[in-house]
Amino acid sequence: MMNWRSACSPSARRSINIQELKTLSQVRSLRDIPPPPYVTSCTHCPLYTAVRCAMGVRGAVTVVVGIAECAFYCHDIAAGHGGRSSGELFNVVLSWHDVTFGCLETLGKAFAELIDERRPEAVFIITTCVPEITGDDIDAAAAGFEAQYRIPVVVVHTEHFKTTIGGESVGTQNALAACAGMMERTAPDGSINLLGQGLDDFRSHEIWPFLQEAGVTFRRSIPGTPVSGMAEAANARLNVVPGTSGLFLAEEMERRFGIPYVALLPRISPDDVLHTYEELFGQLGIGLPERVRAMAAQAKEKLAALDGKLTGKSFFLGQVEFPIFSVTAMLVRLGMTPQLVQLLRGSPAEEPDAVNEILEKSDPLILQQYGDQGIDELREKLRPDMVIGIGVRRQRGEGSPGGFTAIGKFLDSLTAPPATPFGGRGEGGRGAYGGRDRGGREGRGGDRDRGGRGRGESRGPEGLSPQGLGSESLGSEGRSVGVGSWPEDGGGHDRGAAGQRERGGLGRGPNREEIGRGPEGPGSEGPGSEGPGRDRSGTGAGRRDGYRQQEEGDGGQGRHGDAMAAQHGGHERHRGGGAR
Amino acid sequence: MSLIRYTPTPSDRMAALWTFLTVEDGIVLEYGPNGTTRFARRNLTRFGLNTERLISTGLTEDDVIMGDVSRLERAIVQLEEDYRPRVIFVVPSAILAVTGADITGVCHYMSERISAKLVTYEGGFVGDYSAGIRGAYTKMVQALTTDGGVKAPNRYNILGASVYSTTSLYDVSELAFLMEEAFGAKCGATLGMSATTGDLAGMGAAALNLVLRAEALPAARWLEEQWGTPFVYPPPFGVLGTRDFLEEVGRVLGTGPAPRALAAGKEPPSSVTFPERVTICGDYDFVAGISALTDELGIKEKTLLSLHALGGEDMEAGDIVHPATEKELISALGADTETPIIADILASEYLPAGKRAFFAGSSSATASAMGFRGAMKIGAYLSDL
Repeated sequence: MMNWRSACSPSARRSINIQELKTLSQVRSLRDIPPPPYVTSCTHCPLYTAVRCAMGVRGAVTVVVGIAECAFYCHDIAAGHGGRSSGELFNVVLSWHDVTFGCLETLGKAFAELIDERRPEAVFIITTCVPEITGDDIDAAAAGFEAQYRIPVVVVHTEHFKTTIGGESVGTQNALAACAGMMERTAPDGSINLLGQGLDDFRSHEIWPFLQEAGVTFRRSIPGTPVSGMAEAANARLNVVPGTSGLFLAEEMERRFGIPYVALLPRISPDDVLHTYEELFGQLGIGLPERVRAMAAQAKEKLAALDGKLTGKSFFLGQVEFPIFSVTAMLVRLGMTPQLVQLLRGSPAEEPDAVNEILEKSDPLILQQYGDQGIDELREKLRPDMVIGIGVRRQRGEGSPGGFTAIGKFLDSLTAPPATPFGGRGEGGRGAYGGRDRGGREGRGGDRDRGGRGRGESRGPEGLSPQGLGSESLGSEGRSVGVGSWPEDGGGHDRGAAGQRERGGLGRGPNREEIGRGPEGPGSEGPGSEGPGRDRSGTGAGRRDGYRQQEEGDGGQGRHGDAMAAQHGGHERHRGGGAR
Repeated sequence: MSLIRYTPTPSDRMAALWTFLTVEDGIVLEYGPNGTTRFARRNLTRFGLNTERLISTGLTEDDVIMGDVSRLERAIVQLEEDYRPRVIFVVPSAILAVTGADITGVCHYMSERISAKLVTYEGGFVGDYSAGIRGAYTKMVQALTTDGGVKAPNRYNILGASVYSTTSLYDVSELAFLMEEAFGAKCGATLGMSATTGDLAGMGAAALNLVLRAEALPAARWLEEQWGTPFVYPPPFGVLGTRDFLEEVGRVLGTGPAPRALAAGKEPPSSVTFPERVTICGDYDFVAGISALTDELGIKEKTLLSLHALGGEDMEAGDIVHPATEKELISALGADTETPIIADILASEYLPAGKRAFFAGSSSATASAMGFRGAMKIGAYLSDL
């Protein structure tokens, strides 16, 4: 197998004209940022997250309405995350006739078939790009089904072309928001809901022990609540939202049922976090514990201690769990100079104060996604002192300790020594908070290595790579992950505690390097044979409270046939290399 | 289309993607949302393909509403500049099929601005993967083959292998074995499995094209008309079928098959008995081939099920049926619990749990059903029942 890059061109290299890029002062929204001419590190479609989220609601079945490709890929998602390829997920595949004349008749017949066969407690109908373009009124159809079959039928819209790069989380948000359609406020019971995160994950949040001490209990968490318990969620008196996933649902429940919510969203300012906690405890009718105030004071001290230490350093900023311009502004206050900010979500208009503060001192370049080579070239041209949050998997906030702890970790990472506890044997090294190994060697022992596309990376939970060591050469194979995007699904990475491992076997050439980099066990190593290979599909994705963790990667399962074959007697598909 | 419970039949566009990706030094550019490409990458990696070469233009609401194709133009120019590929396959997403963007037109004028060849596949909604494979094979040979210079008398090409097929790899190996044994011939290029543009350019120099599946017949005919390369079809199934195949190849090559090769085909002894009925399920040529094989064994009652639509004049349906719905396919496979089944492993998920079957392409059948060896393997399975 030849190296395709060298086959195409020995010196293939994208050349970026910096003058053509926009700066912060020129950008009001993502639309103002010129897209890259092509994308090599593709991000997920919202369909992906919506399907995973909907399939986590026990008692409900999911029906995806779209073309054959969307249907095919959805079943792959289902098979790859411990779900069966049938039973929970169904499809209505649109034909040209449906596109031309509308798909509602087809959908109606399929729905009748579904009810007849499965008699589900509720149904998620997930729409995709094509029916959204043709404009079929699937919401109206769902309302009709709901009346006819007397079960909740909710619609989740996932038209990908309306989302920006990195906007796949909208799928989760919309799917959770759709759960409001399964609720009915009957008798308020004074309970508290947790929205957007399973209870198990929320236990790692720094505020959890304080809530425990105060005797606060969450009667339901969504996701994690089955259809049978969903209705009474509307009887709660308060919703707590630990991340952005549950925000749409909280807003919808406030609109429909008048239930207030407190969102514990990641904030880089200790004062903001403190205000959020004060609001939470105020809503709970409990005084804020003094220890929480002490944590705020500690975070402020940590921030103050950085004063003067980073002055004059330039940086690239990619994905961080906090609002990106607030982080940039904070770093500017520390005397740093932003050269480039990668904007995958939100817009400058959402953080006007922070943007104005930045613009008073500098006007950094703003990128969406520019591919691996593009970002490497920019690094070589601009030579930032620090690269923060670029080239690593994204963190979403959920599952993180949140609040002051997250701020503290981030601040610590800014001054962490190059030597890394996460491995990263490359000469570039990185901070303790993760980052990118610039030396072009295999990184191991990261938080969860997802089998990236190159050999030259090591990843941790957050990216931050102090410049200086190894900065002369990025290593031609070190550009393995798209800027701020999730690394491509190479397969072979672990899936958490109950995770599934894959043996590669398929890989030829570069793919062999993708497969099997999971640090958590020998099973993730891919043999990558040239000859007939074999996929082995495990089962049992980590599933807690009925919700398959979105922080986990996709990929890793064998081809669809394998998962199916496993159900039918353990046959595996064979797949191999070249014929010649 | 009715309710789909199991893995849906891949679309023509998906087939075009996986077929084009077998050209090792080409780039496949999807003109569509990058999430679509991500899904495709994730899946096609499982087919043994290097999906790094699958690249997306990205697509936004503005592109959809305004019909702006400048994004595609920029991508083509930049890819040319960055990688100097020999060929860029442009495959628009289904969204573009709905909005009706003229991708072929764009690529026509863009081809004058770059040195790489631009090959487009404007499908979507024209059928399932069978149609896509057919279209992609034809596009590839039309765009990338040449007369190849001097004819090589002992070289053949294989047309019709597919990375999606669970048995293609074994089939290609079996054909190579037969051709080596019978004629000492060597394979030049394998279309649809793994080849470089150089391999494809040399296809015209082969003395013969062997066609594994009907979808490759338009490509084979084009090669015959353009470069004068004859082809042999159908592929060798059954002992008699394999003999016929070798003799036909020998006729084309102008030399008879080696007696040793023909002697390897042994018909089952008359003492061996076979079931009276059999159900066969898979791609058209697999079903037709196994049906011919079981004819030789005296099995006359058959249920023949194709996993894809039977399109075009090259697929004589005969008794082969493509069930209109998934429910009908499940019903046909599970109707009679006593009838043995020979099926592509892809059909396994439609079978009732515990139903015994011979699954081609599974771990227990790591060989082709073609050739003498395949005939004997299938015969042995059926005689054991």
